[in-house]
Amino acid sequence: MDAQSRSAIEQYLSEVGQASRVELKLADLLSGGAIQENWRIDAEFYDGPYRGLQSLVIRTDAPSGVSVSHSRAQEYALLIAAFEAGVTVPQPLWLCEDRSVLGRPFFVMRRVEGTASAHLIAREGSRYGGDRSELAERLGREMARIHSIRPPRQDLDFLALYDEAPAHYLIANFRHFLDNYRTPYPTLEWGLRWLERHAPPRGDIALIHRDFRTGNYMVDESGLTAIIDWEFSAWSDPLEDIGWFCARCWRFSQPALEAGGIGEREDFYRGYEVESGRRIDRDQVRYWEVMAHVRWAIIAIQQAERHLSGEEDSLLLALTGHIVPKLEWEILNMTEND
Amino acid sequence: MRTRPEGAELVEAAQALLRERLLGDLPPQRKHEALMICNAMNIAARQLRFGEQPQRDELQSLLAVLQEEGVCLLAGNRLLGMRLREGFGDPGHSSREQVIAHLRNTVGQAVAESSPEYLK
Repeated sequence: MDAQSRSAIEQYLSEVGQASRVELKLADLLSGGAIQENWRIDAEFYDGPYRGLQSLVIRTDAPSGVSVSHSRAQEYALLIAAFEAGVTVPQPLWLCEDRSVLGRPFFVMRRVEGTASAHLIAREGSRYGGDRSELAERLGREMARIHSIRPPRQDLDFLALYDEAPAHYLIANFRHFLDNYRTPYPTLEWGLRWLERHAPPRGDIALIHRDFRTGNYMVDESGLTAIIDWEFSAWSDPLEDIGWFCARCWRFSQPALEAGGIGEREDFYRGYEVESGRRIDRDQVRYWEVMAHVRWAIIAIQQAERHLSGEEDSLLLALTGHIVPKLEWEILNMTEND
Repeated sequence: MRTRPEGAELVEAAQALLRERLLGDLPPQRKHEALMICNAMNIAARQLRFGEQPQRDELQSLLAVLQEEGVCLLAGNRLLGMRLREGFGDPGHSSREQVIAHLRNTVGQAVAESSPEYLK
C-alpha cells in the first residue's frame, strides 16, 4: 500500500476508533476478487476502546466490477444484517463513504483467519474444513440463518422487491440480457424455456446470499470461520441459494460430493432443516440447480465480454468465457428428459 | 504453402516449454498465471486443429433443424433461440429430438475445444 493511503487509513482509523494515534504494522493486498479489493491490515491502536493490535480487513472497489454487484455501502449493510442474524461473518466495524480517504468507498471488518480457496478446500484429503459431515451440516445452518432475514427491511431497501415468482423474475432478466447481447446462445434459450415450463410459484421470499458456494466461505483446519462475499445478495426464493450451493458446476474437483464439493447433500439439508424448522423440497432443488447453471453461464458470458469489449484486458476474464460450454452440457443433461 | 510447424503445432510446443521448463521455478501466484496461459494456449491449439469444419457442420445441422436456407450461423442461432423460446423444442413437438441432437453435437464440439477433459 502506498504511503499516502497508509497515512489516510491511519488517520481514518484513529477517528472512528477514538484513538489518539493508529499505526499500520501491516497493509498487504489479499488475493482474489475481480470485483473488489481486500487489504489485510494490522493496526496498532495506541489508546481508546480498540487499544492494542487489531487484525482487520479493508474492503474497497477494484478497478472493474460486475454492474449487478452491490456497492460497498450496500454490502456493509448486508454484513450488518447477517451478523445480527447470527450468521458467521467477519464482524463489520466501520463504513467510509468519504472518497477523500482512499478515493473509493470502503469498509473495515475484523479479519478472520483461514482460507477460502475452493481448490484447497475441495481437494481430496484436504486438511482444511475439519470433518466434512460437520462442515456440510454447519453450512446448512448458516444458510438457514441467512434465510431468516425477511422483507421488508428498511436497512436493506436497496434490494429489489418484485411481485412475480422469483423464477419468472430471473428468467425474464436472463432473456433480456440475451436479447441485447451480440451472440445468441440457443442452449441457454433451451434451458430458460425448461425453467419457464417448470417454474415454481411465488412462495417464501427471504434474503439469499446468491453466491453461497465453496470459495465464498472461509475455513481453518477445524471448520468454518466465516461466510464472505455478499455483493450479489438479494430477495428471492431460498431454494435458489440451495440450488446454487449443490449445483454440479460448483463442486470443483469433487463432483460426487453434492454439497458444494465438500460433503453429502443430506448433511447439508439436515443442518438447514434443523436450524430453519422447515423441510427442503428435494424435488425443487433440482429446478434451482438448472437455474444455477443458466445463471453462471450468463455471468461467465458477461465476464468474458469485459475482455472482448476492451473494457479490461484480462486472460482470467477471457478464459471465463470458455466455461460456458461445460455449463451448457450440464443444462442439457438436466433438461432433455422432461 | 504455409511454413511448418504451423499455428497449432507452434502453440503446443510453446505451451509444453512453459509447462515443462518454466512452471516449476515460478512462485505460487505466477504459477497460477502460467497455468492460465497454458490453458489458453491449449484451447487455441485445439481450435486451430479443428479448423472451420465444425462451424460448417453446425450450420448444416442448424439449417436442417430450422428448415431454412441461406441463413448464416449467427442469424440461424438467433432464430433457433427465438423458436426455442416459443416452444419449438418442447415435449411433444415434432422437432424436439432433432433439436436435442443438434444442441448436443454443437455443445459437445464446444466442450471438446474448451474443456475436453470434462467429457472423460
